[in-house]
Amino acid sequence: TDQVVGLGLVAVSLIIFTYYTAWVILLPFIHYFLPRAYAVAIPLAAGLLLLLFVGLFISYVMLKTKR
Amino acid sequence: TKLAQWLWGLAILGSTWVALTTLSCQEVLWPLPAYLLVSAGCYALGTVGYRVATFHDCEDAARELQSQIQEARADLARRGL
Amino acid sequence: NKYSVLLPTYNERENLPLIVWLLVKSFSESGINYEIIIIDDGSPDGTRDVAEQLEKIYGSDRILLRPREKKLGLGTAYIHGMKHATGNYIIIMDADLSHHPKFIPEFIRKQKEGNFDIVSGTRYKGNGGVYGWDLKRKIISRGANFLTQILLRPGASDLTGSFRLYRKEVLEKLIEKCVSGVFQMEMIVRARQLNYTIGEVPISFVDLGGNEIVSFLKGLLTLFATT
Repeated sequence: TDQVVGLGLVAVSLIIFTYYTAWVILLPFIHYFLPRAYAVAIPLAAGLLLLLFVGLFISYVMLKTKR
Repeated sequence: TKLAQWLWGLAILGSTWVALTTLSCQEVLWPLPAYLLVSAGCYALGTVGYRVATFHDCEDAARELQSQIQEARADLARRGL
Repeated sequence: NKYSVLLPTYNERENLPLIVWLLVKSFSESGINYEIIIIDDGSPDGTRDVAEQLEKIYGSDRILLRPREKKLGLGTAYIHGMKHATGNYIIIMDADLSHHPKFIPEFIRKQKEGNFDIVSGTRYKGNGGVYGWDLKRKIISRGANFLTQILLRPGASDLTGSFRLYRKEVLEKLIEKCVSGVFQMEMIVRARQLNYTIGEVPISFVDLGGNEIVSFLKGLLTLFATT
């Protein structure tokens, strides 16, 4: 399973990268794609969500340690 | 410091981007920071995934160690431990 | 050349005789001059008693007991051990059998080959690897290592491992500089700052909660901002 999961992560990252590159870099020169504003909004939201999770995790751990 | 190096790099990239942004090329240009971020994220995910997939499970080393532990126990007991 | 192995122990009654046996085997098979310095931090499980027996079996010129009263941390254990070390090279490793002494001759060969100041064992390169880690542990370890490589660019692939060989004076200098468990990581980062050369040997590591992750991140960011 470790190998499957690892290669799965590689595949996911390749798919996201290919799709996003087509969307942001190729499309303006050429329309399975959302409006362009989402190309920024979605990564931004995902990034903020990630930061939120990291922050929550850290504060959870620190609170527990304190207790 | 490494932090300062990163800040410098980001400042240079950022100011270049601002200078350029302020038709199809322009379309590509304005979401470029998001594109860099996503690419970096994909690179990170892909690299970590690849390294997890190719992380050696040292089964042989574990077996060898187990047999050496038996040997060590016997030898040490013989020496009076 | 003489090689002093520093073995800090705490509750390693089971493992200590085995690691010492493996060390002696490895050293005598390759004809290396050595000593093993056991620094026990007042283990309640009788590690010290076992260590004394080992000293009798192998001789007090090979096995040196330098215990301390209580648990005082790794950095000070190395300082304490080094005060009594007569070798010109110091090997540090864990006493819990996760580091196998069979790699030490390779460390020494590597050191001679490039005249390195430090030779570090690495789980992340070549034939290196781990045993006994589940998927979660592997992902966290690889992720943490990736982040470290990106942020610190340290010039060595395994920063959190603690199986290393140092020139004695280099280790003395490094310990003096290090302030931070992150301790192993800082040693390599400071080594890069001081322009010491580092060689690497792949090792197999035969075996981590929220707390460890958070303190690791804290240490990483501190090093990122200060070095």
